[in-house]
Amino acid sequence: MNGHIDADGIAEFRVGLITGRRQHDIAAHLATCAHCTSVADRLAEVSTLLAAVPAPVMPDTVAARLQSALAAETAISSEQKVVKPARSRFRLPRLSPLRLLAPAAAVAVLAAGAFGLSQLGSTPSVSQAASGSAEAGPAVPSAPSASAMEGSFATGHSDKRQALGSADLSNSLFATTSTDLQTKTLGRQLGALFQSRSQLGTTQPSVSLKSCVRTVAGAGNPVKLVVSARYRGAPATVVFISQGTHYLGIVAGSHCSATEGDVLATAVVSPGISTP
Amino acid sequence: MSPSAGTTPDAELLRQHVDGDPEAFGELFRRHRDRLWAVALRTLGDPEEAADALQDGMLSAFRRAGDFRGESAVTTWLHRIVVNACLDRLRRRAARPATLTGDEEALDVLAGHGSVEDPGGASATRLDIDAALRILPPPQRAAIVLVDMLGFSVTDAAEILDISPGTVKSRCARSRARLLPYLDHLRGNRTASGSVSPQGGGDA
Repeated sequence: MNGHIDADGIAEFRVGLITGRRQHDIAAHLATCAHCTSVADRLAEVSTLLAAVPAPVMPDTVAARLQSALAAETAISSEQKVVKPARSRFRLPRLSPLRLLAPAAAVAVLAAGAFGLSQLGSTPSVSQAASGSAEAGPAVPSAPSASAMEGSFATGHSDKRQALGSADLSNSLFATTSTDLQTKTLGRQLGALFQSRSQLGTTQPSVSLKSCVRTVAGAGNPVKLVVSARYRGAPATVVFISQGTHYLGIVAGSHCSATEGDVLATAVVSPGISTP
Repeated sequence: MSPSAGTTPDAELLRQHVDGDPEAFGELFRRHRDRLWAVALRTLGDPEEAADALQDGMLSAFRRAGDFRGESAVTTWLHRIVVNACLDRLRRRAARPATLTGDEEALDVLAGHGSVEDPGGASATRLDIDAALRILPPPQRAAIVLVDMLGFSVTDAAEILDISPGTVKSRCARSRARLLPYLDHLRGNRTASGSVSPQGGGDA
């Protein structure tokens, strides 16, 4: 081979891009030519030096900017998802404090069993249901639930709800159903109940029922629908309050009154879908 | 690069993001951001542009996460999106009426006429490296940044750039040949900065 090989040729040779006879020629030339060998060495050094450059660190300002851009995108996409049906994990942007204490309260009140049925209100369907329930339990209803509700302003024995203002019952529909709600299927059942609300038998609410609803719903929350139903065999009142694009269904037990919420369970209900 | 035991794999995080987990994508970003930043900065040579391109790329990845089919690693997929965002920017920049072509500016810096505000410091090294890289046409630059600077294999770089491994090799070879006249300059960086870590180029 006459003359030197250009740098491109040597570089391509080094990465195995040159084959056949030319490959053989270059290899032979490099074996005898100090100049071209030096070019090959210096090409290798370019790679070595580039690899040795310290990786740049992302400046804090850039990291902050990108993270806020992603956070904004997350907020947008989660808003879109609220409207989209069939989300298995439904998150309320603002959780009602009721939801947090619901499990403990449910245990407490279910233990109370039929004890409180005598306090039950005046709607006929609820009274009927009461007679059908013969579940016996220890007659100490208030002590555990009182501790469960400690610190919560939403419900609780000593809570004076009126002091916080009143729930909005101006557009509330009062209805009754024989549906027996169960814990595991509560979301679905409440969704179905809410969907079929126009087919439910409507009732005139008693004063005590309204008091209960005001206690459960909390100040200022628009109450869409109140249904007298059953929860795990016992009479219960379900209060649906509007929370933006969806509803919170609150199941209250027979102790529900002007001073006590007696919340047994809650579930988020989205118009058109139900969540477990 | 491989996640340590107990951490959620990238693909799983991406799936969680698609399923609506608001935290998952942020975690994925935090995991890969430094490498993605390095690719964007080296390819574009300008922090502002790199930040813009990285933001474009990450938002695009966020929205298109459902398209990820698992044919490549998540990190490869993320790099591909970010590199494409960078090359798009360079194409748009090239289409603009040229006031200062990057190359002229780069040659000034290499010849010592450029204003180096922090001589001897880390930013001087960066400026000079970026100036040297700007001599390369963008497609060649992207290839050598991935392979020589960030330690990607030729195969992975080929996937990221959506070209054949042979083309990656060819672009890298030409880049090295083109940088040859600036070897002394690159060497000078090393001695001048005195803070070059041997593992700095790639942690693969």
